Amino acid sequence: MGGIYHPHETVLLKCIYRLKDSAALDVKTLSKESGLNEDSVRKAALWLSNKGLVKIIVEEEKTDSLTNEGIKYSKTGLPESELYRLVALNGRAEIKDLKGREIAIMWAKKKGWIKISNGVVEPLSRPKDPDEDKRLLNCIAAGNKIPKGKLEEFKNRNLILEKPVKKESLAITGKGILEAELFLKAGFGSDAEIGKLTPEIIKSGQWKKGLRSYDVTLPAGRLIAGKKHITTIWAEKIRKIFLDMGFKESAGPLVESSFWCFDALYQPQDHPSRELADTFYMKKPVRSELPDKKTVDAVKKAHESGVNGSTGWMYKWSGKIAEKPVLRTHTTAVSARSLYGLKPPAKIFCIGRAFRNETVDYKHLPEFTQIEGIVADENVTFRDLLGYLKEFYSRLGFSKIRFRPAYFPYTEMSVEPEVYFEDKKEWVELGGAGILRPEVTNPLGVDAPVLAWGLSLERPVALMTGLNDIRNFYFKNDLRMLRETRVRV
Amino acid sequence: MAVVTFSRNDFESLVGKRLKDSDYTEAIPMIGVTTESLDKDSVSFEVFPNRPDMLSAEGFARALKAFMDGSKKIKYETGKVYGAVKADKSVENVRPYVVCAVVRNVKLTGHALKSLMQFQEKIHETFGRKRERVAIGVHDMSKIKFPLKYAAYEPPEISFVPLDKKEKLNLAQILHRHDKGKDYGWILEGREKYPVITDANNNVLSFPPIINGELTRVTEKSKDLFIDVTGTSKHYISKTLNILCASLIDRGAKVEAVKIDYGKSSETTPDMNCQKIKLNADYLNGLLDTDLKENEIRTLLLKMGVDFTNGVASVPFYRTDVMHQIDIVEDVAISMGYGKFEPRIPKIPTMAERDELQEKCLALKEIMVGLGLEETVSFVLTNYNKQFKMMNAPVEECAEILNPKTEDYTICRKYILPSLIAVLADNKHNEYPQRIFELGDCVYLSNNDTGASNVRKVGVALCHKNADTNEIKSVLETFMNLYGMKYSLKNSAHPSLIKGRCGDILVDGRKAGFIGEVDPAVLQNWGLENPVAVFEMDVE
Repeated sequence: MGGIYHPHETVLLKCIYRLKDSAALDVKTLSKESGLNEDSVRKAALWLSNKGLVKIIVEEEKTDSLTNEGIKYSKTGLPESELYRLVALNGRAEIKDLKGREIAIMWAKKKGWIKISNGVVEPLSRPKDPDEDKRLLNCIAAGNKIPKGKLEEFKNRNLILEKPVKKESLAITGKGILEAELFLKAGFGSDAEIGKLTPEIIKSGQWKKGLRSYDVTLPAGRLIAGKKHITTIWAEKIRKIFLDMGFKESAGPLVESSFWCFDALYQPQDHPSRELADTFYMKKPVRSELPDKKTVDAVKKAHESGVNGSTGWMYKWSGKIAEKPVLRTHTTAVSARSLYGLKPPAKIFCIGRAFRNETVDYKHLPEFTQIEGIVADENVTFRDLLGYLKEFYSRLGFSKIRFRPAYFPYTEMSVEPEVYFEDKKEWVELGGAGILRPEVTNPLGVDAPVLAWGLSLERPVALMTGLNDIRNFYFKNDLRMLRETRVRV
Repeated sequence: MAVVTFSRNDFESLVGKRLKDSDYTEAIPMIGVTTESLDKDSVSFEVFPNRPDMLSAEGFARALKAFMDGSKKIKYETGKVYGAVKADKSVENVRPYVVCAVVRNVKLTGHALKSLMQFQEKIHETFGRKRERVAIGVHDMSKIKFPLKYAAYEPPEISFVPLDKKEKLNLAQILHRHDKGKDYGWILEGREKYPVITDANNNVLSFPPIINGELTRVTEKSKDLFIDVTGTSKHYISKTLNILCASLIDRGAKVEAVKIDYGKSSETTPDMNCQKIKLNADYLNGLLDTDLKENEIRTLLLKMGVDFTNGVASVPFYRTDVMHQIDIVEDVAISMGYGKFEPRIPKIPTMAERDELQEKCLALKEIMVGLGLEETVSFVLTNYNKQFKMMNAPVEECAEILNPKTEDYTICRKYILPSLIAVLADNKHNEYPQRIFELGDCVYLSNNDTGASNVRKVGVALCHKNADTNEIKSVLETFMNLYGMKYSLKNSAHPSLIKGRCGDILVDGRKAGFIGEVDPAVLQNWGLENPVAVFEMDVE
């Protein structure tokens, strides 16, 4: 046998083979002959024709069917019959009493059943069968033939309509005959095979009679799978990259003091990114505690008049402002905490939520996930920063990278890495990086240079998955979409 | 970040040569400026906030010219002291500092005027912190009689015709009636006296930081200008005046100085002396991993407009960004080109270290996925309505935002359950069953240094036509068993769950969470039509 067959297929093919010399085999006939219902015949025929074993021949045939008027008369009888009965009952009728029966009068007269003189209708010869036409209409409805003359008359009276109807019939192909003969040799047994295997069938040994073959190439439905969120999958990938490179994982509070979020990072207190329009300040809690006085004083000095040879920002720094709690605007706040009392060499990373006072659109969300890495060591240089960036982004899947000067208040040199995005054939800015300023590291007690870089998680996910509207990730959690995203990234 | 737009023709004539499109898209970004848009007639740049000198066409062209042809140095100097401005003690508590200059032979036609106006607007917005820190006034010199006076007055005391008005208004009226008064009046909020600059004839030149007088309006015919810059920081107003003067000198003007007399002390502005900063070549070579000699450093720095001799960098008076020698190191790196630095990875012996909570969460997620649950990720931000009211739960105290932009996000969530219900409500059109989980942070007010703590929680919601207490209990039982945590359940009540079908999850005898079927009244609040069974518990 050249293929795997559903039992209905084998039954149908056997049947068509047996009847191969008769005229066109339609579904009705085959249903009767095979014992399958019409639906099963249609399905099996389609499968067999896909395998090239039978041909489905579609012919257009004209069939007569009743119009609405025809249907009505097939039930009530024709109007002239009723009129004749009425007139015959009374022997006569006045024309003026027969208003609305003009059509009936016309046809009764035409058929010679009545005569009209001086406004009076009288019956003529008694017709053989006044209900003959009703019977004929019913014949047509049943699909049977009627005399040609009558057919024309009904057509003229608009009681029947000629309609084209598609008729399907099946014919076995050469390949089908070969296959059927192979079947016959092997003994058509498959229609008796067992489908679903059950514990009873296994125990009883019934299975020994043979099990039905299944066509595994047929399409299957999908299950709803247990699955991690697309951003979790990417966050884990990135976490693994950092761990593989020997970094230590860190975490910090979502509600953060302005001190760690801004001041420790040498962002002046009137810096635009600290404004209400950009940062979520807290109504509750009301205030945060600052760290030890030595650190606070050192940060204050860095801002006001500078440390380590710096001029500072030259303004009056306020501890009150530094105490204001905010929702952290970047995970760099976590890095600042990590730096506090850090003993180099150290490599630290953080993946966490950050908040900006943004209105929601397809590019901006009030919440996003930030990724951040720092490397502190006495001997690191600008080249090492570029090296880590190159390595990190290439492990992330971007093998081509270039670097552009940028500006961040807490780094110098500042770099914007751009990666080459193969799909779109263009350079895309992806994150920021730099060497932390001495005004940042010095007050926190770190003498070594510190390399730092960060990016948002959503950006590479959007780039790599093509899901450009980042709202779909958190905002909507569209399950249909999440179910479609790939697990291996 | 500020975006400035220049006429391409004017810009290129300031640079002194025609620029190709590729110069704009490839070369200019390497000085640290992004070309936002470019066409035949105009070009827009995104200027980083550390380089306000590049907000003017003249300043930008000056930087680019040096970068492209290196060594040429332009001399900037002030002429004689023209006159004096007396700064009265009364301004100390409102707007303490002023610097001024007189500019001669200005041709304020077309592009020069446009560039000046754009610069003024952008610097007010960014470097000037919306005029609070720095505000500029530019006047027609021919209408002014020296000496001038900078003093603060009670609002009704002084009246003058402000720009764009026909009648005299007093200072209070200007704040209420003039557009600029409405825009910038907040800067003077709570002050008893407002600052004003007047001349020897008692005419009002300016009411900083709000508006100038109509009298000294600058027109295309103005030949000589008087410039005042006032503000809260002497450093920032001086730098602003410097940038302005340098730009006007680039257009062919001459600058004369003005003496500012504070009574106890006085000074002459503008100060065009270079900022001197020591640069240690070893420090530079150590950070960049280079081996540059002093003369090589000098050549590189000249391209950035900075002179370097005997270990001292002379930074031009219009640069505002140099605070530490690291800033000069960056200039050297940019001058070399970031592309010249070969990336490399150093050998730093550190061990990878995983965060314990993070590890725990990963294990929990594995179990959840094994149980056939789909992970969702929601915002920590929400509001009282979604977190409590729509859950038919009493409102609790939460970490709350002071300045929310929308009503959607006013607090941090304390529970995961409302997030899960919101996800189900958003997914009614999608295929069921929907068995979802979320593992994420909630925020509790606490005694931590910041006043609040992250609390990691896990929540599960089963939503389909047969979801019930039995199923969610089986999920919990399997989850706890696989994780290896002993727990017990206690019949109890929860405002969002059906009475008599919910309980507390106890770990070590302490309440760690809750389990049950969501009350149909809550389901109706969210428009949900299928039963929902849930549990939520602390991870730690």
